[in-house]
Amino acid sequence: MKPDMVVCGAASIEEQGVSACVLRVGRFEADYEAALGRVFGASWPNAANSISNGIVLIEPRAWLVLGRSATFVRACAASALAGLHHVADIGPAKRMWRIRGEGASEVLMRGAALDFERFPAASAAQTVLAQIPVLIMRRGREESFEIIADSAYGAHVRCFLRRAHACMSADRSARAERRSARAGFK
Amino acid sequence: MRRRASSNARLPAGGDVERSKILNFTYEGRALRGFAGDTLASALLANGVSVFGRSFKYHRPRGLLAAGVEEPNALMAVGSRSARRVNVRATEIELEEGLDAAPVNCWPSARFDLASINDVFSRFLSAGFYYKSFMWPSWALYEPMIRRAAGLGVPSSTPDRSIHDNLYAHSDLLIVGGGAAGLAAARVAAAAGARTILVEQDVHLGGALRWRGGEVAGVSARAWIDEVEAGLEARVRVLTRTTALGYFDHNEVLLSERIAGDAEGRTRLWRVRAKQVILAVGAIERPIVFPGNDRPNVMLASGVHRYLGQYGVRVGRRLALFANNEAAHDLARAYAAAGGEIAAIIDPRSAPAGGDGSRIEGEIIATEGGGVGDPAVRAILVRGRDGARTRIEADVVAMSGGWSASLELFRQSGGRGGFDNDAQAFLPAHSVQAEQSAGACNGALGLEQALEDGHRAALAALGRLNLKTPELAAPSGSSASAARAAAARAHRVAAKGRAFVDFQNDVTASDIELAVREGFRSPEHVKRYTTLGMAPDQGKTSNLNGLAILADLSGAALSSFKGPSHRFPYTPIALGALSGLERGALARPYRMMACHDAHVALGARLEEYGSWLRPAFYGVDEKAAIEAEIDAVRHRAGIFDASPLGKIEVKGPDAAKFLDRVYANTMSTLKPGRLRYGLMLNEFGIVIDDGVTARLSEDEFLVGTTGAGAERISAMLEEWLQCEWRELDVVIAPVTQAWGVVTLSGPKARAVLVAAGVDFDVSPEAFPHMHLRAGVVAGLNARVARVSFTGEVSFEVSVAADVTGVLWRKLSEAGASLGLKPVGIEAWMHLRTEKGFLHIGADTDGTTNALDVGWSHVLKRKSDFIGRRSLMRVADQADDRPQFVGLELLDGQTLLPVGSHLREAGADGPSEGHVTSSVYSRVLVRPVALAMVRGGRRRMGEIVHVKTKAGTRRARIVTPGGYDLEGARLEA
Repeated sequence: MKPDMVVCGAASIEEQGVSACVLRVGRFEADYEAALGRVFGASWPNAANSISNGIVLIEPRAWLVLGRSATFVRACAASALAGLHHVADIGPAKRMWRIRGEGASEVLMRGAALDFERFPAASAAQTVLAQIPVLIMRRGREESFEIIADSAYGAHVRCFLRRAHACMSADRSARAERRSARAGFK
Repeated sequence: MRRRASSNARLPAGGDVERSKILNFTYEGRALRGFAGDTLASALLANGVSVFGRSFKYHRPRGLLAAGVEEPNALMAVGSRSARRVNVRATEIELEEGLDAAPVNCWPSARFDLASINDVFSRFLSAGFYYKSFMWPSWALYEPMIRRAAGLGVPSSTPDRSIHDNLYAHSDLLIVGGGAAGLAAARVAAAAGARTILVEQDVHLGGALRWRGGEVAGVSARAWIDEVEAGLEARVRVLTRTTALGYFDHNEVLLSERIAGDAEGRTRLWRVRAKQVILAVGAIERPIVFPGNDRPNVMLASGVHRYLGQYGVRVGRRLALFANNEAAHDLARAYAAAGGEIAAIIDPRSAPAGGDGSRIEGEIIATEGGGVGDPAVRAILVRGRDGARTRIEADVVAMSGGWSASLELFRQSGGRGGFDNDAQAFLPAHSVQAEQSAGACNGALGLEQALEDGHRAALAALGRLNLKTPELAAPSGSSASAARAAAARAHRVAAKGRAFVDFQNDVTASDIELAVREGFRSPEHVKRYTTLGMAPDQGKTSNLNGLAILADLSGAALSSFKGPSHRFPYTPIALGALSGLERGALARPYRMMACHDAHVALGARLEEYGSWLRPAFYGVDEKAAIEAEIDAVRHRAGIFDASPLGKIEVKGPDAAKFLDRVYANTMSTLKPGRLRYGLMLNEFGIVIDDGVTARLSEDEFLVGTTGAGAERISAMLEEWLQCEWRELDVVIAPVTQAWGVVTLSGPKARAVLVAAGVDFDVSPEAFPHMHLRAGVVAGLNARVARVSFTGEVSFEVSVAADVTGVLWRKLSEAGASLGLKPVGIEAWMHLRTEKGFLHIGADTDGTTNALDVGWSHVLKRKSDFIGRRSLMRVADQADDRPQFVGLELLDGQTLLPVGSHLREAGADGPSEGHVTSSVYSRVLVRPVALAMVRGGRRRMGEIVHVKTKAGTRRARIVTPGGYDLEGARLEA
C-alpha cells in the first residue's frame, strides 16, 4: 500500500483509501428510491451526478455508495429491494484524494476541462483528469473537491497532483508579486 | 553584428523601461546592457545594433522591421547549447539578467556571414528554383547539402526537459487584445459582472494606445489605461504576455502565456472555453514594396514609433518617412519631439489628404548603405512625381503602406470575410461561432472608432449572455491622427531593383511576377510556388502586399480573392508547451498492479501490456531469465500476477440466457462452481475476446476476459443489454480492479498452496481442473479457480485488490523451499505457445472468425448468439480461410520469425498464411510455432515452405502445440 500523500499550501491535498460500493438495480421497482432512502437514512439521489449523503448516481440504476461497508450496503439493499440488485465492493480498487483550499480549483484546472470555478455543490462529475478516468465530487459550498480514481492509476494521479500543485503555487506567487510590483510602480 | 560606436539611441527619459534596473546580457558573445522592461530588440537598438540577422535564402543583412509579433527578421536563439530556444523573435524576448542571444541564420556572425555568397547568386535562386534545377544527375546528390542549408537555427543538443504549465478555463466572455478596443470592451464586461478573461500579448495593457499617445475620456491615454486596469482588478482575469494561438470549435481558444522571469522560457497553455469571444487583435502595418526596402534601419513606421514611445529608443537621428496614409505622420511629430531630425516625408499619393506642403510627392526608388560592413541605410533616392530624382541622407526610413486587419483567429474560428475597399483590407464579414471582432481588426482604425467598436461589441456580447448591460457610455478618444484615415492601398514602387514582399522568406515582387508568368493565378498556388506567407511568420506583413501585386499582374480585383487562409498556431510554440504538464512520467498513464513494488523489488523488467505495467521477466539477462521462469513452471512452480485479467460479474434470473447470447458457446449448462472457456464474437463472427467464465450460483456468473479487453467487453455487454435485450433482467458489474489475482502454476503449485494454508481440500479429486472454490488462502478470503494457461496444474487465487501484496508475499514465502519462482508475461506466453493455446490478438486478427480457430461446433447450437448469423454465411465457412494450426519445423533448430509467410512446397504463388507465434521449446527440444494457414485443418501433415530473411524453411502442418497433448499434466 502506498503511503498517503499529503501536500500543503494554497491547496492541501490528502490521499486516503475509501470505502466504496456500487449498488446496481435490475428492473425498476415501484418506490424503490424511497425504500432505499429509508434504509440508508438519506434522500436517495435520482438526478445524474447528484450527491446525497455520500451516495452518487453514476449510471442509470447504479449508485456509488461511499463511506459504508459492503456488508452494510448489501444488507440495506436486501431489505429495501425485492428484485434483482447487485453490490460490488470496489473500495479495494480505489483511492481518494481530497483537495481543499483557495487554490484547489487551480490545481484541478490543470488536468481536467471542467469548469471548477462553477462546479455545483453536492454534485459529481465523471470525467478525465490528466488522461485518466476519475470521479470528482464537491459535497459542500467550500472550495473542496474529492477525486476517486483506480488505485492502479494512483502513481499517475499523485504525480499529476504534485506537478499541478507546484505550478499553481508558482503561478499564485508570481501573481502576488506582480500585484505588489504594480502597486509599487504606480 | 553592427554596432555604432557613437550610438545615442536611448532617450534620456520616456518609455516603460525601468532605468534604475540595469540588466546585463550578451549578444553574439558581446556583453551589453539594457533596462528592465526592454525587449531584446529594444535593448539592442539602444546599444546601436542595426543588423539583427540574415535573411533566409539570400543571407542578406537584415535589421528590425517591426517592434511586435509581426517582426519577420530578428529571429534569435536564446540560451546555452544544451537548453537553447530557437526562432524566437527579438521583439518578444523580455530582457533578463544574463540573457544570452544570437541570431539564427548566420555564421560566424550576422555582420560577416559566409552564406551571404548566396546573394551573389540570387538570380539563380528565384522562386521555384529547386523545382527546375538539381535534376542532373540526381536530386539525391544535392539533397543532403540543401537540407543542411535549409531551416532556421540549430535546436538544442539535448531534449527539452522543461515541464510547461497548462490550464483549462471557462469564461462568459473572452476578450483577445488589450488595446483600445479590448479595454473598452473589458471595461463594460467588468461593470456588468461578466466572468471575463482579457488577453494581451504584450507585457502591459494598452496596445498602441500606450505608446502612440492621445486622450481618452478627457485624460491622457496612459491615465485612462491605468484607470481601466485598476477597474478590472479582481473582476476580470487579465492575462498579459499571452498570445491567442488558435481558435477551435465550440469557442475554444488556445492561449500561450509566457511565464515572466522563467529562465527556461516556459509557457502556460490555456485552453479557454468562452461563451462569447471578442477579437480585438488589432491590425498590422504593411511595408511598402520598393527597391532596397530590406536594408537595415528601413522599418515600419509603427515600429519606429513604438521603440520611441514604449522603450525610449530613437532609431537613428535623421528620419525619412515614406507613407501613403495620414496615420503614419504621427511618427514624424513624435520623432521630432524626441530630438530627431526629419529628413523627408515622402508620399506617393498625388494629392495627399491634409498635405501641408512639406512633403515630397514621390517614391523611394533606392536605398544606400554605409558601405562594406555597414549595410544600414545612409541615404535614399527619391523619384518625384515629375520624375526628378533626389538623393536624401537619412539613417532611418519609416514606411507605412496602410494597415491589414489581423484576421488569423477570425479565420481559424471559421469566420468568413472579404476585401473592403474603404479600409483597403480584408475584414470580417460573417462570424460562425459566438464571436465578434472589434477595433482595428474590424476596420475601426481610428482611436475614437476603436473605442466605440469595443464598447459596442461588449454590449452585444452581454446581450447574448442575457446579462444586464451597465449604464456606461463609450469612452471618447482623440489622437493626432484620430480623425484621419489610416486606410491606404497596398503600394508597390515600380522601379528597378529587388523589392521585398515577404522579408522572412526572401520573396520579392519579381518572384511573384515570375510565378504569374509561369501560369500561376491562384493565391494558394503562388504562395506555394514562391513561399510567400509561409514559415513562422505566416505572412503577417506580406500577405496583402503579395495579393495586391498578384491582382495587378493578373488583372483581377483584390476583392475577388477570398484572402489568405490561417491555421493554428498564430505564432510558433514549442512542442513541449503543447504537451503542458503531460510530459515525462505524465506523458501517458500506465496502470500499476497492487504488487507493483514487489515486482520492482524482484528485479522485474516492466513493460506495457494493455495499459498495465507488468513484469515481462525478472532479472537482467532476458533470455536466461525467461528460460529459468519456464523451467520453474514446467518442473517446479511459478507464481504469476494475473490481476489485470478482466472480471465482470453478471447477475440476474436471465444471466445464463444473457451469456448464451454473448458467447459463441453455451454457458447456461455450466453448473455452479464450474468453469468454462468461452469465445466472444462481434456481429461479423470475428473473435474479439476470450476467457474463462465461472458460475458462482444459479443466477450469478463471473465472466473472465483478457486484460486489455476488460473495459471494452464490459461496455459491449452493457450496450447489448441496454439497447437490444432490454427484456432480460440482468445487472453487469465490472470488478476487474477490485480483485487481485495470483496464479500458481506447475507440478508443485498445489504443494505451495497447501504450504501457504488453504481451508479446503485441493486434491485433484476434490478440486479438479475447471472448478472454482471459495475459502481462505494464506489467511485471506479468496476464490480459487483451477484453470491453466500454461499446460501445468494451476490455481488462480483471487483476493480483494488491496491485500494482493499480502497474498503474493505469503505464497512466495510458502513456495521458497519448493523452488517457486516469479514468472513474467514473456515466459507465460512461451508456455501457452508450447501448449498450443490460442492467444486473441497474437494468433488472431480482425478477420479471424470462430470457425477459423476450430470452433465449428458452434454452428450446431440452436440458440442465437452474437455473430452466429455471419458464421452461417458461405464465405465465413469457406474451407480455404486461414485457420489456426501448428507448425513442426523439419530443418534445423532455429526459430521461425513471427510474421513469416508460408507457401506451398515448390510453388511460388501467393501467401498461404503466416506464422503467428513462435518459441523454442526447451521441454520438447525443438522449435514450436503456431500459424494461420489457408485451409490449414484439412492440410494436416502437408509440408509447406516458410519464407524468412535467412532463406526458405520447411515445416509440417500439425495440431497446435505439442506439449502434453492429452492434457494429463493440467488435470493432475
